[in-house]
Formats: sequence, structure tokens, C-alpha cells
Amino acid sequence: MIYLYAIGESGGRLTAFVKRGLGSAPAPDPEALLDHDRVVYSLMDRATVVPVRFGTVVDDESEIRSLLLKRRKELRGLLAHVRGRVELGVRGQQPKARTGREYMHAKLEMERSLAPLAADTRARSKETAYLVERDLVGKFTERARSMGLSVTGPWPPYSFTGELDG
Amino acid sequence: MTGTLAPGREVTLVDLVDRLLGGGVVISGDITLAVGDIDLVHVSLRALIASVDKVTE
Repeated sequence: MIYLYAIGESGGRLTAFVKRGLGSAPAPDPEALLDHDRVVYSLMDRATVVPVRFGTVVDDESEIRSLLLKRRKELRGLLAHVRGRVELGVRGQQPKARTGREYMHAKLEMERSLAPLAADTRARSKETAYLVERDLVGKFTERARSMGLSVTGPWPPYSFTGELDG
Repeated sequence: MTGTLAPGREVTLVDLVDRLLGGGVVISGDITLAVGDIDLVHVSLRALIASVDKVTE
């Protein structure tokens, strides 16, 4: 079996970054998750990539080539959207407030303050994901922290791959 | 488990699970057999990601 880590571009061609020779799909234990993250994060330094969901395996390379062919327009679109950008997670956008109105105002303020520094944003279960230009990461992080928020990442753009629950 | 993966990087196991299992491109079961003549390029990346290969369109 072949394990898929990420999809990117190499020499202008859509490329899948894989590991060959697996016996079966890995279970999501901490080591396997860390391995996946470590590999994709390293790839991010060298190329524009979109991560593949953990645990994705195929039987052979023809499946991968077929996938790249079939979804090439979508994949190139995703890559164009994340090029030069990283994902940051923002936690703690639960402002202290005495009233519901105050709460809403404070939340809106936080979002309005951060949104201009991001190319895109997605709600996750525990945090908000922002897609940020690499050279704005420092400024974004500083601004978020100044509002008492905590920032996770940088991440490969897991939240910006177009999947409904991503 | 926090912040140990790379310098200046804040990552917890909870965050990892949330993203790796709930994010990323999903390859579903509707993959059909490849058509056409596409060259397969194998490139070995360097030691840091030693066992990662490439499959190109």
C-alpha cells in the first residue's frame, strides 16, 4: 500500500508525496500523527503543498495518477490559494463580557482586527483557522496575543482544502 | 504534548488530531483506474524526510 502525505507541485507538475511499502493503513496513534505532521510540515518548507487527511492509503500508483488527473483543476486551485501562506489557529475568542451584546461586540472586534491580516478563515471546533501570508505571521500573532488570544501553528493548510468538515 | 515539534511552533496533540483527522484533502472511494500515458517520476527526497517519495501526474 502507498500512504499519501500531501499533494503539491514539482517542476510544474501535480505531485503526490507518498510513502511506499505499507502493509496497511496506520492507526491514528500519537507517533503516526506526529510522523504525518512532521513530514507535511517539512514539505511545506520546500514546496507549496496541501495536506492529505491522515490515514489515506491506496493500493498502487495508478490510483494516485488517476486522482491527480481527475481532480487536477481543483487541486491546482487549492495550491494557488495556499501558495506562500500558512495556517494559524486562534483560540480564546471567547471574550469576557457581562452581557450578550458586549460579548458579540468583543468577538466582532477580534475578528475585524485579525481578518485584514488573513487571506481566508475557517471555523474549527476549538479554534478559528486563518490563512496568513508567511511574512505576516509575526504581525498576526502579535495582534492576536495583544487581544489575549493564543495562536497555534504554523500549520500546513489542513483547514483550507475545500472539504466540508475541514 | 506541546510545542516540541519545531522551534517557534505551538502544536498540541489535540490540535493535531483535530486537523489531521478532520482536515486535509479527502481521497474517497471513487477513484477509477488511470487512463492515458503518464510518466511516473520517482524522486527520493533528502534524509530529513527519508522515506517520502513522489508520484507525479
